[in-house]
Amino acid sequence: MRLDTTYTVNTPEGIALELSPAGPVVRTLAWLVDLSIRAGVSLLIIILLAFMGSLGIGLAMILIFLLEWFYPVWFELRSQGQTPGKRLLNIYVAQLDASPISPAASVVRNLLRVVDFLPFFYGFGLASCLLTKRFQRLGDLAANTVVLHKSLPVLSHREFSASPEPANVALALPEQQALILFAQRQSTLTAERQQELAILTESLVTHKTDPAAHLRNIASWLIGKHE
Amino acid sequence: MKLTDLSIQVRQRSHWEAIDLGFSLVQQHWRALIIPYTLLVILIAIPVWLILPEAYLWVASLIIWWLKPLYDRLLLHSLSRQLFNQTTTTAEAFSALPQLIRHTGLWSALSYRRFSFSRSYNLAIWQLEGLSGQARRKRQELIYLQGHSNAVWLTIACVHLEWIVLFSLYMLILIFDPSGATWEHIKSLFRGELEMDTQYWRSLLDFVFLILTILAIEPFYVAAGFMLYINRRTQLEAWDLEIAFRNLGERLAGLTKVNHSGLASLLIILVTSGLILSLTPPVNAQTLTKTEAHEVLAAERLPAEQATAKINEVMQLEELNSRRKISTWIPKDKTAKQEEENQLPEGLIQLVASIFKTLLWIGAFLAFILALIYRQKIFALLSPLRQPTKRAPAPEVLFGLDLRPESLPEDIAGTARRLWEAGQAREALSLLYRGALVILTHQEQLAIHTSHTEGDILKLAKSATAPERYAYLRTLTQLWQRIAYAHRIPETRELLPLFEGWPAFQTPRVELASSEVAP
Repeated sequence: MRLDTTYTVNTPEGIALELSPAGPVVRTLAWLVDLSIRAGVSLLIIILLAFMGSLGIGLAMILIFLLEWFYPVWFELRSQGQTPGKRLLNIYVAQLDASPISPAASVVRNLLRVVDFLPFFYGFGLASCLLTKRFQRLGDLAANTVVLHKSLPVLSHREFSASPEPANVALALPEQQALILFAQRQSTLTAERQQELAILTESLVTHKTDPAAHLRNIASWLIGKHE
Repeated sequence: MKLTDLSIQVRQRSHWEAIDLGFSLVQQHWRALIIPYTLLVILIAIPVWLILPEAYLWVASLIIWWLKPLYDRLLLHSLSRQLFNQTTTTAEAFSALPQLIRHTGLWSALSYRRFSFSRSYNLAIWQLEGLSGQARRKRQELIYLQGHSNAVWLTIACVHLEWIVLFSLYMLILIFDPSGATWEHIKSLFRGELEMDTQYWRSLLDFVFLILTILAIEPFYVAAGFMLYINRRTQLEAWDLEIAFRNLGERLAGLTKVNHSGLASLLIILVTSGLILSLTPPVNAQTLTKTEAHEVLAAERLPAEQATAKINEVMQLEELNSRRKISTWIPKDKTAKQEEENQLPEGLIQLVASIFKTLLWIGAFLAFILALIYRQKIFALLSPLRQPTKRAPAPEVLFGLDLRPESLPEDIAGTARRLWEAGQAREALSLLYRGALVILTHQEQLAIHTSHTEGDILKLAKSATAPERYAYLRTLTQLWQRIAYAHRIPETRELLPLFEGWPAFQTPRVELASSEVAP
């Protein structure tokens, strides 16, 4: 079993979802973005309400309290588990099985920030992130949630032109996928590297003058072009 | 380097995921990493601490922090072996150290490249690719085309994480220290004040905390940068494809061997299938073998009829047949509605429309007639708006005159004329004037107070009453004043218009109202 950050969830429909938990670095950056947004809004509230004297400061304190505690809950429930910072870094909060976060879980994970925050600016949260396999802080563990990368990098759907040609042997599904990927990544690989890779398939390209082009032809056949 | 020996899953990843993979790598292999690394840091830290004079102990922390690129190299050495499932022993790691110091650009890394933000990203170029000079620069440019910003953010984030760890350690001590000495120490760290008696132990505490912080975060930082680099190499050189193609090539090579030995059996199968095919309706044998070669089918398969039955059975399951009621707003289909309306005969619509039109006109005409008949009531409804709502009650006695309406006779003008003819001039004028005042106060709602004189009333009446009425009142007041105060009895001809004008004076409002409506 090779090391990867992902884990798999089987849905009741029989689909295996590959989920990719987000680590401490990307979460720290998202948190810093959210922190600066909250700080900016708090400052604005204080400036606007300071004109109302003591009453204004009191109101500002209440508003800032609500902002600090319910900013993540609001955004997690309203915009698919993404606060603005998380949106910027393309990560989102979800239940461990990737279903949308429930209100109770969101409240729990955000109220437990106070525990993660100990002893100094998420010291325990960081320790928990570094020690757990899915980079969960204590609030995540309690609420059974996880922060995930929004999407695995979309395999490039780039078009490629080749004259379709069937392979001389049956190919397994991963092998077919590899061939299609090879054809799609034509522009990101050097010509020499392409030939080098193509020769590795051995009997698939024996007696061919241009192995890479032949593999592209097979890939074109595999994606359904038979003319 | 054999890619098939890689201990990590090679696939296309985002740069952030690559950084996360670095963290996972350290989680997985921390035992192998931590021993040589900790040993190296401690071996440097102890001599540094012992050599420095007490006044310059803070320099020890600086040195330990400054030497991070050296530890990075040892960590990367272990990590790069670990990546191919080779565990390095502590002895092996240390024996590689002299080579790491000499050939990996350590001196530039410790001097002018110490503050580079992409330190962990480009380390592999120096150390693993062993490049230098122009070649290294070109290589670095290529690598930096993607993932460089992520490497910079990785450094920024890791600096934050180090601060978090360092201050968390202080805060942990602070939480469990009732004496308050830690708090004083933290404050003095920022004030720069020194207390000599405990200074040594406090500096040692700072030193140990810094070492712990570096021990905790640096492996993750180096591994994350390394994985960023590996991810970039995977992009550039399609490592995932190389592994897949190698496996494919090996499998195909195995297949051809099997095919040679099983050629005879294959021939038999072909012959028998050919026999069967000749009996069955015309199916092209060549296409059959071709499709067999290209289709990937499971080894165990149900016959077609059974499979159809099974599929039907599955499709009947409740999970696939559940119905849900969903309420949503959808835009109205306007064309359909128009068609519906058009189904009514045109004549009927016209008829209904004209009936309602006629009814409306009749209604409007009736309303106009009613308004004409009841115009006075309508104006009466409107008039209260013009009257002052706040009004003092009319005075009962004004400069000695009784102003209660009950005290007046029914026919004021007739009574006054009789009194005049009987020679009681004073009583006759008094009666007329009182009558006029009562009309003014009760009919005209003139705001007359007990303090008002005859002249004041005249002034008030000027703006509030009609001009004819005012003229009558003025004549009356003059005559009344003359007889009341000067005791001069007016002529009969002066008085006669008053008697004759009284009915007009008494009821001017109807005339006023009709005069407004008439034109």
